[in-house]
Amino acid sequence: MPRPITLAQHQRHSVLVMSQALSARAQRSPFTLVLDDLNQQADQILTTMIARGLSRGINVVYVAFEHPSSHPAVRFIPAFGTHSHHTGDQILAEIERAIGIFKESLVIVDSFHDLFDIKGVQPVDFGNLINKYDSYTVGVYHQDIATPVHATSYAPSPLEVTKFMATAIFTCKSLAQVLAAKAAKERSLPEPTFGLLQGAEGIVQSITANDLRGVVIDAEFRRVSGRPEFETFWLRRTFTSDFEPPLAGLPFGPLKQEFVMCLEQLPLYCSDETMANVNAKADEIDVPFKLELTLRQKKVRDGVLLPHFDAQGGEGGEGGRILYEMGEEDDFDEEEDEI
Amino acid sequence: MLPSSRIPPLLQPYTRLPKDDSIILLTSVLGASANWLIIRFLCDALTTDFKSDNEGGNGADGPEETAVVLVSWVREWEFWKSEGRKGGGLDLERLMMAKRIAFVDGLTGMFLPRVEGEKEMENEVERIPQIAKTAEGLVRRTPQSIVPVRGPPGRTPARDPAAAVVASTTTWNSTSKNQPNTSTTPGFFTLTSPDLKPLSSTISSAIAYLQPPSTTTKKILLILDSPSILLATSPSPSTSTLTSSTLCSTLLTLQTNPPYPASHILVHLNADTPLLSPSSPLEIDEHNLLVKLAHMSTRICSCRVLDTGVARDVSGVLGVTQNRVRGGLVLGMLEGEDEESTKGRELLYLVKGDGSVRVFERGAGEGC
Repeated sequence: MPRPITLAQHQRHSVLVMSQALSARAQRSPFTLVLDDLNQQADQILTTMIARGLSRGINVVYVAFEHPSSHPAVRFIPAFGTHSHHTGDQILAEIERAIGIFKESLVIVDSFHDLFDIKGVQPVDFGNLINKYDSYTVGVYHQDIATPVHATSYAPSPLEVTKFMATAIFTCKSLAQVLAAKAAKERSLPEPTFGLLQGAEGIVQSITANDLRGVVIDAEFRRVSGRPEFETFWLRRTFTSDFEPPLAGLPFGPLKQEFVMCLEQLPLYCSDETMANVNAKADEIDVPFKLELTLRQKKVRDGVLLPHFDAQGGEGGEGGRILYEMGEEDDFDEEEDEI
Repeated sequence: MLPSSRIPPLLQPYTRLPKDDSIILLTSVLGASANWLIIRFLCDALTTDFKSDNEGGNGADGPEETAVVLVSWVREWEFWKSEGRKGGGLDLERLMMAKRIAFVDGLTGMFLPRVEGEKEMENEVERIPQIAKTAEGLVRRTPQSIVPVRGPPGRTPARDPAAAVVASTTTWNSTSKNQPNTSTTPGFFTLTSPDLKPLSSTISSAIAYLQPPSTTTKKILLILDSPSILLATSPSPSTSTLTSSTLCSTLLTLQTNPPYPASHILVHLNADTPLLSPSSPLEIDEHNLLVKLAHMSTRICSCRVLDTGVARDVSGVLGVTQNRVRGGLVLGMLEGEDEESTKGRELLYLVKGDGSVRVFERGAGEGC
């Protein structure tokens, strides 16, 4: 395939590819791996994919390890709790039952770690099952989950195998943190780390995590030709108002307008103003207290009558003596302080 | 003073339970305990309903009444009662009579009674307060059980570590003495085995006990204090069925348990770096438990010490992050909802000697 010539063409092409992948269309990406961590969770991607899948009227199956419920129109397979005595084979059989009679299905697994590492399902078996019914699958793998090292096993970890098999890999990032990283790069500073990696004891999730406005996606598409494509996208939060009013029997109408875009097209990301803000934050002296004055402090300071003003008065005032009324928080020391 | 006024205004949006079913994660480190925060959650859950009782008639059926199941593995009922009275102005004993709270004791019944084959273990546990220093191996075995309940000296003036040690030794003895009496009290449940099946059945029966016989059901808040001790005390992490993953799925089962689901679950875990650095199987499991619960939870509140060291007027930093706009649902789709309320925030707090708490923004401490 010839490469697009202009930037605009390239962006249009990337958005189209991403849109197809998100809507589970045109066999663009039958096996999508979503890598997330606590800094940006994959919820919003799953939400939009479920809604887009439902709006297209395809069979959406949700294999749940972490979320106790989902959209009522979704075929929900609980794999936790009392169901957790299911073996991997039983879960696979249940998925097969759920997708068997449909022409097109989208299978969403909210934790590949549980399915592959704990239930012991082989990623290849799972992939074959999906392929057999020409379906799509999206799975989330939390990058911050540690997998025990099996000293005896020479086989690659399921995550490695999954990465190898995936036709698209989405890595989730928080917008605020992407901006901070960009600012750091512009100043040739090391990229900041967040959350558990931040190094401060007790921080599980930094406050810039999980931007609710949307999610930055680092996407890698593996084309059938073997050529990979890389692009960074901005996917804003999906609302029900993004879809046309539904026809009878369907939960969502068709999507009104595609809203996923390349990150470079996001005004917030490109504008100098944002970068100036981020830089200004970085320029602040890094102290754990505020150097600015509070309102009350300002008011008190404004009330101080400076001696040279006082001396300009009719009688010469108090002759340049420092005029200061002790406040209640002033700690007067008779030996040291003099007024 | 009314218990609800014990919650500082800045904290109130965060101690209020979300409308939808949710899991809330509370983390603490050694120097910054989160007990005060658990008490604030208790206050909120157990007192907001007094208000709704008074206002009674305005809603269709009014807000549901909340009942609390408190499961504690490292601290006993006496401790929670005194903390609740001191910090929250709550009379937990009376609330227990009124079927508003049930207590599941994971501490005394688990190791102290003489079970065949566990004699060794029981002796170990009893000796821990005296010989904690010398017994390296034992400390490893039950890391949380000897963690000082209170903060280090200086940070919270009234909390003296020496007193805490004395207190913990005495309670060890006292609980073993009066355990038979307390276990017969209604609303007081004891865990006798560090396994998941008894855990979930005990919690279910505690929830069922709290539910009134009539058709109206109470909203249940399930508080788990340091469940990671289950991982630490299970015989061998690699072979046992008790792992971070099964523990998490047990929680989800409790949340969706058909007759009486525990709609809100509050989990308190320790987030100290040494416990989480993934190297040994146990540490990997504790790390995964924390990460997995953090992924599942709607809100994460973490207490940590001040980055710059000990300060007289600050006990620690409380970070609150909101993971989802709506509760446990992945798929909630809302029209532009107010997003300000769900932004992450960092606040400083000061736990005073009398148990009261001040919560304030950076730079708005007492001196300003």
